[in-house]
Amino acid sequence: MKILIVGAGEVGFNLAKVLSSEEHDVVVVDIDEEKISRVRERLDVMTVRGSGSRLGVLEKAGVGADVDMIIAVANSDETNIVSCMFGKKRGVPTTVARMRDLRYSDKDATFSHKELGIDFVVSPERVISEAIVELLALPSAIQVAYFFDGNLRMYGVNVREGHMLENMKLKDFGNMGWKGVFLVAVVVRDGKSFIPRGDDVILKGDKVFVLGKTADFDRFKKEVKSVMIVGSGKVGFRVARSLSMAGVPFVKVIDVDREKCQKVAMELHNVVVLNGDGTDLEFLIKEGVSEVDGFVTTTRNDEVNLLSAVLGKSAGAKKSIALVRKIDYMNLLPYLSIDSIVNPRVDVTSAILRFIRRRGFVNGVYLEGVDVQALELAVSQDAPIVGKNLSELKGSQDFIVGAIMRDKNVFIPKGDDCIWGNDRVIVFAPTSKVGKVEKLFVG
Amino acid sequence: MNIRLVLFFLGRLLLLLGISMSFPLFWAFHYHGNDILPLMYSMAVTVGAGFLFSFLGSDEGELGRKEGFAVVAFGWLLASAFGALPYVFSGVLPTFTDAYFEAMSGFTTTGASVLTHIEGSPLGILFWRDFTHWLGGMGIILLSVAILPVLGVGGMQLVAAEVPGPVAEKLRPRIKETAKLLWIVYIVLSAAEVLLLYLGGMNPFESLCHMFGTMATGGFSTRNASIGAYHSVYVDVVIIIFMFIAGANFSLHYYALKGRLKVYKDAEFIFYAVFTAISVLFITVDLWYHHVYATIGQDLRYASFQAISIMTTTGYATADFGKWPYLSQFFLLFLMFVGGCAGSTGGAIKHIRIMILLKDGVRRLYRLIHPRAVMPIVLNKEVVSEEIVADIHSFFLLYMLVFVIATIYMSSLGLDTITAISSVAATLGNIGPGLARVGPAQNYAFVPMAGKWLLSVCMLLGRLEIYTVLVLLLPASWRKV
Repeated sequence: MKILIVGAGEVGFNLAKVLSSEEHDVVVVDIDEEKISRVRERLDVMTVRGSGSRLGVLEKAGVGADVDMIIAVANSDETNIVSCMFGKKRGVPTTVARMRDLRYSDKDATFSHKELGIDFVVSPERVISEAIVELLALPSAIQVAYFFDGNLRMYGVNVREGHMLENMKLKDFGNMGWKGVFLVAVVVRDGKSFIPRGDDVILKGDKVFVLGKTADFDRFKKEVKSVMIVGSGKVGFRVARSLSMAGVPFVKVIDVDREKCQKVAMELHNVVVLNGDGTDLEFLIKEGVSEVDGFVTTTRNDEVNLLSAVLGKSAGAKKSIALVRKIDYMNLLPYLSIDSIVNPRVDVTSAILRFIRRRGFVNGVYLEGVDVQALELAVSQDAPIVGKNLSELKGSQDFIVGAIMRDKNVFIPKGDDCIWGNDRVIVFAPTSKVGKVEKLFVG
Repeated sequence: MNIRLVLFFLGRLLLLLGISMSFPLFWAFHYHGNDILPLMYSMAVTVGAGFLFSFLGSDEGELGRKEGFAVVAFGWLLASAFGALPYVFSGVLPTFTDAYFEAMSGFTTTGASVLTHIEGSPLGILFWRDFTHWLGGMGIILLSVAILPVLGVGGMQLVAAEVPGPVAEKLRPRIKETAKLLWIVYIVLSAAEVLLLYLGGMNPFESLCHMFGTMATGGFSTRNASIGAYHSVYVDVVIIIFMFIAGANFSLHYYALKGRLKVYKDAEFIFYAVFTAISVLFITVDLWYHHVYATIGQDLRYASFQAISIMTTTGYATADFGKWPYLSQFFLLFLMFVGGCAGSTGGAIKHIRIMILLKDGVRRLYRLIHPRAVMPIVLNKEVVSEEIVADIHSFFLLYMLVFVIATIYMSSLGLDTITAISSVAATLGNIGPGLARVGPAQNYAFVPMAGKWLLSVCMLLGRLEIYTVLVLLLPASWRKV
């Protein structure tokens, strides 16, 4: 496929990286010389410098009917809208845009995104707010992804000292007396990711991705009664709103900006709004941070969010989650006493990749910092893999089948299971093998 | 630096080089020459070394900037060392120094020769001599990126180190595809030239050899008197046209072959064309004024061939310009510094850099009067960043510095001033013939051994545009952190 990416920020860069390593022809457009030269030096893609909202620039990037897709992830929503509109006009079949401003992307927006020439809209604020609400419920989860229409979930878990998964051999994973079946699909150790085998042992400091039925995970969930949110921007506001709508009795929102506090207070009636500094420990303690189930920091400043989350945790909050926008900061997680770091850019990248792979492709999760991807595929009737035993598969070192859904039944397969046509499957595979896996399952 | 990865790539490069020796071998068989065995030995040694390097190396890890520079610089040094083997084994050249000089001169498309009796040499060896031009012209590394599988973004680092021009442009999103397209354009134009030379009465062997020399802007001929030996206006014109084409940016030719002739409105190309026309005119007038040739038509014929040959850094000759008036001689020396366009097979400083330097000079003068004037340098409706302008200044400085130091060194070996200056200018710029004792009717055979090694280095510095070689002298290139 020929793909044109507008915007070479973190999302644009990561998309270009993943897509070019999957043998797509990628052209990246950005007006910023520094960002564009970073792409030029590090990735094997074509680069064009200039604004994505100018037709001349897009023409230089080769916009036309031979381009299969435009992905607009520039900083400004308007640039994204305009480049998608130009693309549609020039016959590009598919357009994707990131929209920050909820006025453009909400269901009751003045223009529907179809009217703007956009096929798929990702709103980072919405995506990330949903993830935060989900993570609050499960104590040791740091990342969450959904498969099979929500029937199957994958949680990313950081194995700290004393965690129940520490020193566990994967073979024993099934006989822990837990109800339901779980699968450790990917392990990240010392910055390297691998698909574990039965003899592998989970160590302290690992990050593992566990797959299981949604209902089976429910028993690990704790009821969330009180949450404190620092920052009342788009994300903070959305998290507060969904929590209070879900019936969480005590939600407090803290912001240094008095006017913003007032706005939130007017819109959310069941939420306590406090005007104060999220890094002021005394203030946090007075407001009961030591008793809360969740402490979420969502200001526009990454460093403030990280420090404030550490403060909250040290004061006794049961789970603290920090929102950061810089992807490099996600590597800090093992060194900080924070439970989870969420990044809208990672989720946006993931959402866009999911959308791109539609041919037989239902869902996919881009795991940040991990070279393995989780793909949800609909197996076609005549796919090469149909009817084969999983254990006899050649090249099965390259990927594993994590779960199968057959006639509404979800199960985690063993070696003697085989794949049928019309199954839906979750496959874990290294990024470079995604194309191969797709061929095998979809034909 | 990941040395094993570098070794792995060098091994692949040597394998490719060894295989390419089968072309001269074909001609050796065809003519039943006494160079069949020497070529076979060379091929065996090169392929053997290729396997050894691949065996010692490993393809694990990512090819970064440092490794890219190392692969390219050592790749060229090794290619010349193994490319010298046919000359050594066949005994055409007396010493390894001479053979190395000849091979380096071939790969860097210089065309400076130490071979005195060209016409008596085995034809397979002569074919190899010109074939090295052709391989080096579009770039041996670019060729290996085009046809060998390369790890991840490594190919880009390699190409950036071999084709360092100031403004990089990709024809396609993938570097491999870009490299392939450039080589295809190169091959298509080469085929056209062979056909035209053949139609002009040259035999297939000589047509091929002279095509190699022209398309790569090299300059090795199969005749002692170079192109002058043919006494044919037709051959002169064909070679002039293809030297001019080879001196222009191959990206433009790519778009032109696809039917977009408008691309020749490119600022550098126009500058190149105008510069060429002025140079030809200038020398024609000088020759006419001094009554060097019988008619003004002949003045134009010889002036245009020599001027274009020197400026595109080819180095073919149809006249002994060493006997021309001093003004013309000096003008040709000046042209040695100009060179071809960025993205061409020509060497030296290149037109785009000269354009930007001139524009910057004028701008700085203007700023003396209007200190607050904002005057971006614009090329093809795009602003040239100040960083690139600064890069070009420092390239120019390094180029002149290398020129001065090498000239002092050559003088210390006992060469007269004009010979010393022009030998360095002609090798650093990848031209070939210089003036005085290294003029078109002479060759480099008499230069002392120490001088030949230095000139070989100059050729490499010129071909890889200095930075790629010099950067490896920095300790930082070898440290891990």
